Amino acid sequence: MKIKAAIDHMDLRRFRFWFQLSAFLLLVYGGRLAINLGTSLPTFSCGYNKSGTAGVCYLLPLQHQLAQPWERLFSPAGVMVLSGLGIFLLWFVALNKAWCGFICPLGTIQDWITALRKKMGIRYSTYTDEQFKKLSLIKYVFLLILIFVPLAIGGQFLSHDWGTPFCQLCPARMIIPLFNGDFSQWVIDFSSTGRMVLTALGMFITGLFLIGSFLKKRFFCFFCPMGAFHYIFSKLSIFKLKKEGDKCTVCGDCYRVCDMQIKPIADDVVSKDILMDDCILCLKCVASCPEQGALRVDILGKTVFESTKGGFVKRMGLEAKK
Amino acid sequence: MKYRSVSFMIFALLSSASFANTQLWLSDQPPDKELLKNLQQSHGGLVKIDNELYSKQLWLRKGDGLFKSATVESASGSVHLMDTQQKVSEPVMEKITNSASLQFQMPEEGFYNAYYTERSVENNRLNVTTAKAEALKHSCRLGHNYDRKLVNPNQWADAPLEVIRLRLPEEDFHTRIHSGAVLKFKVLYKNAPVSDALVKLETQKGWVNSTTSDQEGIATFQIIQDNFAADSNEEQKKPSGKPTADTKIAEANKKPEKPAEHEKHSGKHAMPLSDNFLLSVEYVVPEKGQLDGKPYQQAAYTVTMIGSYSPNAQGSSSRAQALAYSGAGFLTLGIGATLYRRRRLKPFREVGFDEN
Repeated sequence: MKIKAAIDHMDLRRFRFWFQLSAFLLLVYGGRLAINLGTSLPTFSCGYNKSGTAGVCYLLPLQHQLAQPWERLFSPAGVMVLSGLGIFLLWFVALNKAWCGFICPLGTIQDWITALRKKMGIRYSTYTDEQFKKLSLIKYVFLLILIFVPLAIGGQFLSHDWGTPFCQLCPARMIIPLFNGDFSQWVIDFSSTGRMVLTALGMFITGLFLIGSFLKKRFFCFFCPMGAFHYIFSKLSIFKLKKEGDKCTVCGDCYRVCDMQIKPIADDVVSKDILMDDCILCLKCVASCPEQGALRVDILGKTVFESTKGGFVKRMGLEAKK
Repeated sequence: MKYRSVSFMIFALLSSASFANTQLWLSDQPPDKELLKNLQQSHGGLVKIDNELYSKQLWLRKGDGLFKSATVESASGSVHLMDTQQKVSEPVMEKITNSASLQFQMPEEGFYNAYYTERSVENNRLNVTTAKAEALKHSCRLGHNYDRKLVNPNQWADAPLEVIRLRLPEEDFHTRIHSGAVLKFKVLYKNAPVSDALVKLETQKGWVNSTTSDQEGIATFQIIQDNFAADSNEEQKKPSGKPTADTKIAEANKKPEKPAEHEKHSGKHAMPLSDNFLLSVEYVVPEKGQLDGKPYQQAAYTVTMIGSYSPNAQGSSSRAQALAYSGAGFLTLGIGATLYRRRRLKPFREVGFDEN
């Protein structure tokens, strides 16, 4: 019980900072220590970070596999796609979307950029409800691109120059290798029309990422197809975010701390399973909730972290003021 | 210096003239577009994959160069195959869609060498023509912790005339040869390096260069920088720059009116051509003997080997433009957000109350 109370009262911000930093070092530099976590990681551990990556983001091999000739893809040999997906799911079910909130190196970089903005005293931006609804669809567009463009390549409707389309657009390809001193991805490739279009768009998106993350918390997570892909399988996960609507006073604290501006986390007092497609499971909502047991994290049906009055008071620094 | 360049020019002309016009080589480009459907592009060219078992199919081609060639209907020469562990077997060539073809399985990762050799005597001269192909089997699914020695070229001690491509620095199974790369080939006769063998390299775009092997049997070429900002499906532009003494833009650079056999297959939806340079080596030795009762006074050995190079990404990429594009993205959103914020700031307006 003491352990449970300690967890409920923990300084989530500090825990997350150190957890994210450790995960960042592991995924971005682990390759230098010969750590190899495979090629089905459910997070942006970028495969273009050749010298340092300890594992590869699943979206890269997925796009490669889907670009195989249809005769092969839709044959028994196509089982390899399912085996890759199976390994991805094994990783994913353990942590659900907490891969985004606690492990994703690109997410961590965005949090660091946000910390810089806070230090500089510049206020952050938010989306209006209307903007939120429209922009949150973009991740599904990216998801469709990363599935159907490779399929079109396999069907010989597009040339291989359009291969791995999302990776070409993803800012992680440019940003993460920089941490190993690799600047090689910062180029426009003019060798073909496809490469030129994709790399130019990729560079433009990288520019948007850098300033966007400065102005808006977790700017890119809003457009991330990995988040959309996660959501498809989130019901399978053993890691759940739960809400007890009858304990919620709709005070809105959880919404105010949410980097992703997810309104139902405060408004929805009916759903028990409160995980939304934009959620990154950073658990800031649980930490900021003053109501005992209104929000909680369950692993295999067992509550491991929940909102408590004591935890809220401690985290808000109200204890000292008393 | 001037004398040296003129003498080299004469030598180059003479040496290129000494090569037989018609060459024979092993290619993985099938003669029939239908056959392409069963193949897929892998590391090292086209392969057939059945239940994760890789196999390579090579076709014997004959012609004046990569542009003007056709598959050979029948092959009466000897065939040898060296596997990744350097074990040599003698597979048989088959006839598929009226073309001589060699098919072999590649169960292990690494390079397989295939050799097809023809021998004949004409005008008291023994002509030994060998077509060699290096076939790579590598699947990323098997991981990348393979023994790096497997990347090294395999050498057949009993080859009539052997040529091996020395590997690039830090070459692995993923390494591609790019235009502008410096390639080194080692020529061996009776398992020993030979100097002064004539070595010619021609590319699909018609660039031809000749040289001779040095004391260590090594011939060095720098592949021409001929990549341009053109889609691989679009017509490729001609190489630029003036031909130098040791660089001749061959007539073959002009595309033939009728497309060559494998050019027909490089349509919009076809696989990209994977063999786009042809290396040939000729070595003549005063050797006496008999073949099928025909005596000869000298022997001319020829070996050909196909290879591929692709556009140099560094040569067709721009870092300055990349920075410009990212800068454009940065500024667009930065300025846009700043203006949006300013527009939403309500200017101070004094509110007056009429207290009367």
